[in-house]
Amino acid sequence: MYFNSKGDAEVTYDAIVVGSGISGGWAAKELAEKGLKTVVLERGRKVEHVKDYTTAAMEVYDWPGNTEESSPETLKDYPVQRRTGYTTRRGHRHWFVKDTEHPFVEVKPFNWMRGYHLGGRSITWGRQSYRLSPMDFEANAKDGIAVDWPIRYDDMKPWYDYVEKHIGVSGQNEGLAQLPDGVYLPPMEMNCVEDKFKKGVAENFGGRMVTIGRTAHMTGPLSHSNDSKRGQCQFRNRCMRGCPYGAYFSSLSSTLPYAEQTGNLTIVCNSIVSEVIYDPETNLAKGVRVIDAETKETRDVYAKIIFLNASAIASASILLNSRSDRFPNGLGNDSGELGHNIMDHHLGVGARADFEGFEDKYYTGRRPNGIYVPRFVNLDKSSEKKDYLRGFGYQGGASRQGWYKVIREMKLGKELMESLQTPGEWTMGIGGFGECLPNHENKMYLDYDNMDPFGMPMIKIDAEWKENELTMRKDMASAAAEMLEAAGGKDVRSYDSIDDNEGKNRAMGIGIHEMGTARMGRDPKTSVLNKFNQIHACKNVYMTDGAAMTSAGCQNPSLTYMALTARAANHAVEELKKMNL
Amino acid sequence: MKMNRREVLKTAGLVLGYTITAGSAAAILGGCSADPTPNWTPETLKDDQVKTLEKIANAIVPGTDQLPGAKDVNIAKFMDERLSIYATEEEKTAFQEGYSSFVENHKVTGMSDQEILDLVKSEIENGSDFMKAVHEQSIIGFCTSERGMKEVLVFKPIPSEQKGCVPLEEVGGIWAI
Repeated sequence: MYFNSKGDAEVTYDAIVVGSGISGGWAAKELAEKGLKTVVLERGRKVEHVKDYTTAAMEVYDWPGNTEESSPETLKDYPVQRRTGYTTRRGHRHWFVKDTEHPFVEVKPFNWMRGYHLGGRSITWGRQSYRLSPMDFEANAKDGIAVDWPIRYDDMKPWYDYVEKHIGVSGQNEGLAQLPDGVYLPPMEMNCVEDKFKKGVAENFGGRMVTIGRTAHMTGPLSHSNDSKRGQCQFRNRCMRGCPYGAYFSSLSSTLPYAEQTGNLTIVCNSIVSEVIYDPETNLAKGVRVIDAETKETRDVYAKIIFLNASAIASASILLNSRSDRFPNGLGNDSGELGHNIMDHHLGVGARADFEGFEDKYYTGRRPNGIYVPRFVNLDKSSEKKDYLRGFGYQGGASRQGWYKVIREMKLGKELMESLQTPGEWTMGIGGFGECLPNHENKMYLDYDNMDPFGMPMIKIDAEWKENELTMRKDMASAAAEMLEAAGGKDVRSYDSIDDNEGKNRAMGIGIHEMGTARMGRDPKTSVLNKFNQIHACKNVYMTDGAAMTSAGCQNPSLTYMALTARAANHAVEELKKMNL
Repeated sequence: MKMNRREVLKTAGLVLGYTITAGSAAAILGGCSADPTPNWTPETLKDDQVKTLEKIANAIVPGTDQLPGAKDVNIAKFMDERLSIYATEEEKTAFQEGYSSFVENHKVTGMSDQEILDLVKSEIENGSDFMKAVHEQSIIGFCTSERGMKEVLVFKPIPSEQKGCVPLEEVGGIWAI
C-alpha cells in the first residue's frame, strides 16, 4: 500500500474516493480492480492492519483498576461519543474521535459517532449484515412517504450476492420475503435457551421466525480466495479492537488489500476534503479541495470521477460546502433536499426474562453475534398495524449469569468461593431495531458564522425521532415481552430507555446508522442522486454511503451500502468506457 | 499474561499461514501494562485504610486450600486505583465519610474472618452503602484479577470454536470472559 504522505500539490488520478470506511473501501477496491488509478483521501490517521490493533490481546487486568472503562477525566473529551455507553472503552476508544477536537452543533441531541482513521467505522461496526427486501424498496411508494426508491430489489440482488461472497457472511437462509436469503458461510450456533425461544415463538405466533444473526465473520473459507489475507473467526468477541486474524470484514482486512494488489491504489491520510470543485464548462466535477489535517494547508486533487464515501453527514457537508454560481446552495442541491431526511434506527427498547431449566448446560466460545427476529409487523393484511407504518426486528441472545451474580446474591466467604464454581441462571434479552421514516424536517446544515478547528463551517444537526418511531416503540417493548413470556420466560421485564440522560443517550444517531442526507430518486426536483448514485446534475460525482438511502428499512444498512457501491462503481467504469463522463 | 499474547500470535500465524512480523508482534505485545507489583504506593488510601480493606476483602473472598483469594491479588491496589482514577469527587467523599463512620464504631484488627463476615452482613442489612461497596469491590477486584480469572474462573482467551449447547461439566466453571 503506497501512502503518499507528502500529498503532492496537484495530482491527477482516474478516480478519487473520499473516505476509507465500509463504502469507501469498496469503491477503492472496485475502481482499482477495474483498472482506474484511484486515490483514497482519508481525513484521519493511517492505520496498519494487525500491527495497529494494539489492544487486541489485552485482558481487563492489563488496565488500571481492572477495567476497560475510561476515567471521568478522559471522558471530558468525549461528551457525545460516550453516550453509547461502550464507544469510549479503552479497548477501542482510539477508534472514536474526541468531540473536543472535532466539534459539531447539536440543535437537538444527536449522537454522531465518528472514527477518523484509515478504515473508519469499518473497524468498529456491528457486522450484522442483512439485505433490504423487495418490500423495503417499495415502501415509500406504497405508503406515499417521501420519494420512491429509483431501484428495486432485483436491481440489487446480484450486487448483494457479489459483496456477500467477497466479504464472507455467516448466516442461515430462511426463505423469508421480508429478509431475503443470501450467500452465507456456516451459521453460528444458538444456545439451548435461544433454541427454546425460537421454538416457543414459532409455536405461539404462527411460525414467526427466530434465526441466528447474519454477521460478516469468516466461519468457513471464502469461495473467492484461498490466499492468506483473512483468517477464520476465533470467537474472542473483541472485534471492535481490530481483529489480528482479519476474521471479520473491515476495509483493512477485506477491501483495501485487494485494491492495493492491483497496483492502482494510492492512499493519502490526514486529508480532509472540504469541497468538490465544479467545472461549469463541462457540467462535471473536476476534483476536490483538500485540507491537510496536520498543516492546514490546502491543495487540489483532480480526477475523472469522484466517489463520496465520507459517511452520510460528512459527505453531505462536503457537497453543501461546494458552492458555485451554478450550485449556490451546494453541489447537486437543486432539489433543496441535500442534508435533509436524516434517518437512523431507533433502539434501546425491548424486554428481558429469566429462563428455568438447562442448569446442566453451558456454551463455549464468545460468539460475536446474537439471534435475530426478522420483522413481523406490517408485512401483509394480517400483520397490519393501525397506528404506525413499517416495522422492526430484534437482536438479542441468552446467556448464563457469570461471576457478577455473587454480588447480588450477597455471597460471602466459603459460600462465595463455592458459588464461583457454577454459572448462574439463564437470562435472555431482545432489543428492537426500528425503522425510521424520512422526514424533511430532520436535517443538517452548515453554519458559516462558526468555523471548526480545520476552517470548515460547523455542521449543525437538527433531527429527532418523530411520532411514527415513538408509537412503534410501544409495540417493540410489548411484543418483545409477549414473545419471551410465550416461550417460557419468567419475570419478564420490558424496557424503553428513550428518556435516559434527559433523552440524550437514545437520541437520533444512537443506531450509528445515519442515512438519507442525499437521497436517491427519479426526479431531480425531489432527490439528489439518481438510480446509479450519481448526482443528478453532476454525473461524475457518485455518493454510495448512507447518504444515498431513500428509506431506512429496519435492517442494519452497511451491507446495502457495499452493494450500492459495487453497483455504482461498475456503472462509473462503464460510463467512462462509453465516454459519457 | 505473556502466555496469552504468545498464544494469540501463534494462532494468528497458524490461521493466516504467515509468520507474524517483528513489527506486528511488537504491537500486539506492546499494549501490555506492568504486572501488579507487591511494592506499590497507594494514591488515595491511607495505610490504615489499606489494612482494614484488605482484612475485610480477605474475609469476603477467602480462597481455599487450592484456590487463591483476595489476599493473593493485591486487592487494596485495585481499590485504590478504582478510587483514585475512576471515582468522582462525590464518590471519593462518600467513601471517606463511610470509612470514617465505619472505623469509629468497629475495629476489624483482631477480628476473626467469621466475625468480619457477620459484621459485613449486618452492616449491609442495616443499609451501609460503604460496606455494600466494599463487598462489591472485593468481588469485582478478585474476579477481574489475573489469578482470579485464570485460577478460579475458566479462562480461554482464544476459544477458537463456538458451541451453542454443551454439558456444564465440559466447561467446569464460570467463564472468566
